[in-house]
Formats: sequence, structure tokens, C-alpha cells
Amino acid sequence: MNKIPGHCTSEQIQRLIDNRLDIAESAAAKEHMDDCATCRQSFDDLLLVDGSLKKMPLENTRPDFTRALMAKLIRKAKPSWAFVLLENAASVLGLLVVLGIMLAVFVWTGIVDSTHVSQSQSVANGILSETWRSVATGLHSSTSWLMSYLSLGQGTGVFGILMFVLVIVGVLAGVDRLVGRRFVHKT
Amino acid sequence: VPDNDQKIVDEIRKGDTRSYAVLVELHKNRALTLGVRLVGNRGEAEELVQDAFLRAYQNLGQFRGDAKFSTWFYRILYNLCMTKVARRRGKMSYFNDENELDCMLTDPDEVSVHEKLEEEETRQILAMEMDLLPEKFRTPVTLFYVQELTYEEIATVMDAPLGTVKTNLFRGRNLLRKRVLARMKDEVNAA
Repeated sequence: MNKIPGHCTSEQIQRLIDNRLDIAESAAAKEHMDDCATCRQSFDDLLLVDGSLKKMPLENTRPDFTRALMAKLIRKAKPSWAFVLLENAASVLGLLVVLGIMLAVFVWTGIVDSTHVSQSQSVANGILSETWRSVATGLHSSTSWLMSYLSLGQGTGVFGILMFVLVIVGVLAGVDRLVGRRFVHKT
Repeated sequence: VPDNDQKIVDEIRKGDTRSYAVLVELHKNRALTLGVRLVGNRGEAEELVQDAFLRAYQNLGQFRGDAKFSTWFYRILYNLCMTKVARRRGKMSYFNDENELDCMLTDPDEVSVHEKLEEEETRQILAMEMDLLPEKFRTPVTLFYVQELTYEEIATVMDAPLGTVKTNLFRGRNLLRKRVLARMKDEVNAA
């Protein structure tokens, strides 16, 4: 074991308190302090300050700190007005698409005569505004395009309808996920 | 606490936002203590702690789990506090007593005064002297004693070399010891 010449350095004493001396160094320092009142006193002093600092009371936050923080956090997580607008527009559009699909299915299965649709459309044209007519025409065109694209015609059967519905649901789910991730969860 | 932290972080990542309140409860008082020590103002410190918790939540995806959550969080808080301090630097002056560091060993006849002082008095002296430490010593000393971080964790929080942290911690603790003992002696003599 190496004897410590003179006195222990402050660094040695600190490292001894922090348990950062190796076994040999620690033993040498302790042995030295058994015979050296000066180093022993330094060790005791630092230990006192060290112990007192570790026991120092912590500052306390105000009682409603966590509640206020969580409220702020949730407020921040809320979607922006742009998202709310987009979400509502998407809902209306989704509803129109569903109605369009239902109408297309009814026409295709023969439950509703296509001439009735045309008659209804002409009546609606007289009542509803130019905007609504544009939407209806657009919807009619898009459902027609989708039906032809999916070869959904006479004789396709239940499988064709299922495929058609699955594609629509898939698209809506995809949009919802994409929009949700981008606007809602980005907090 | 560290193991609990990781479990809570995992729960939050799974979508349980409310678990974050548990994490906040665990760390808020230590965080505030650090904030008060660094910026010296309780009101500002509380705002900074709240901001740090919000930022930590928003950036939880970036927490890889290499370090403890507390180390990662204190780094956010430390940066916010340092930005605050830097903004008002020039208006405030800090003590610079590095010259006092030469005398490390004290005369045994001058000490043993702490036995005559009440524990509460000792704590008050410590708190006061800690606030008076130069900034570069106060931060590692606070992180060491209040946050109970290791040298390596302090280096991570402060984004400083380990050697610098060790040196500043060593000097800060010695300066603190010297001042506290001198103050205690004054108190005993005055009594």
C-alpha cells in the first residue's frame, strides 16, 4: 500500500467521499487520516457539507402545477381551426360519396329506375342552387367513372360490390390516418 | 426512479398521455430546484420548468433511451435556463472568487463549529452560499447534489467535456465548503 506523503489533496478527499478512489487509494487515504488530524478534519467538513447539501429541502411547485401543465399540453394537442374545417368538409364529402354509392348500387341492382334519378335530378335542379347541381353532376360522373374502372356492371355480382365498398373504405381510412397523423398527433 | 421513468415513457408512447402527469409529479420539484438555482427567480423558474416539460413531451419521439429520462429532461431545462440567463447577462454580475480556491485545507482549530449550529441553520447557510456560487460552479454542484446526477450525466446535461465538469465540480464543492465553514464560524462567534 502506498503511503500518502504530506497531506491528502482535496481532490483525493472528494473522490473518497464519492467512492471514486480505487481500493488501494482508498485504503491509503483512510490509513493516512487515522494519523492526520488535518486531513481527517477536512474529510469531516466536506462530509458535513456534502451530507447537508444532499438533505437540502427541494423547492415545491404550486399545488396546481401538474394539472395546469396537463391542461396546457392537451390544449396544444388540440387540432387547429384549419384541421377542424378540413375534417368537417371531409365528413360532408364522405357522406356525399356514401349516398352516391348507395344510389349507384340501387340503380345497378334495379331497385331504382335510372329515369327516376334523372327526373329527380331535374326536379332538384329546379330547387337547388347551381352549386348543388355541380356537386351532384360531379358525384354522378365520379361514381360512373369508378363503376367503369372497377368493371362494375351487370353480372359482376356481390364480389364486385364488395370490392367497390372496400376500395372506398380503404381510401377514406388512408386519408383519415394521413390527415390525423399530420394535424392531430403532431403536438 | 429511472426504471419507472422508462416504463412511463413507454406507456406514453403507446398513447397514454395521462401517464405523463406521473412523470411530471416525479420530477417537478427537483426540476424547480434546479431552475431556481440557475435563474435565481422562482416565478421565472416555474415557467421554464413548465416549458421544459411541454418541450420534453413534444419531443419524446427523439428520446432514444440511451440516457435516463431525467438526464435528457434536465438537458432541455438547462438549455432553457441558460438561454434565459444569457438574455439578461450584462444586467447581472456574478461573483468570481476563483482566487479563493487556493486554500483548500482548513486549519483544524478553526472548524468543528458545525456541531454548535442547528441543522436548519446549516441548511440555510448552505442554500445561501450555493446561490452565491459563480454560475459555472453552481450548475454542476446543483446537478450533483439536487438532481443526484453522476459526473458523466452532468457532462451530458451541460454538453461540456467530462474533465471540465470534474474540475468545476471539484472547485465548486471546495469553494462551497470553505465559505460555509467560514459562515458557520461567524454565526457561532456572533451567538
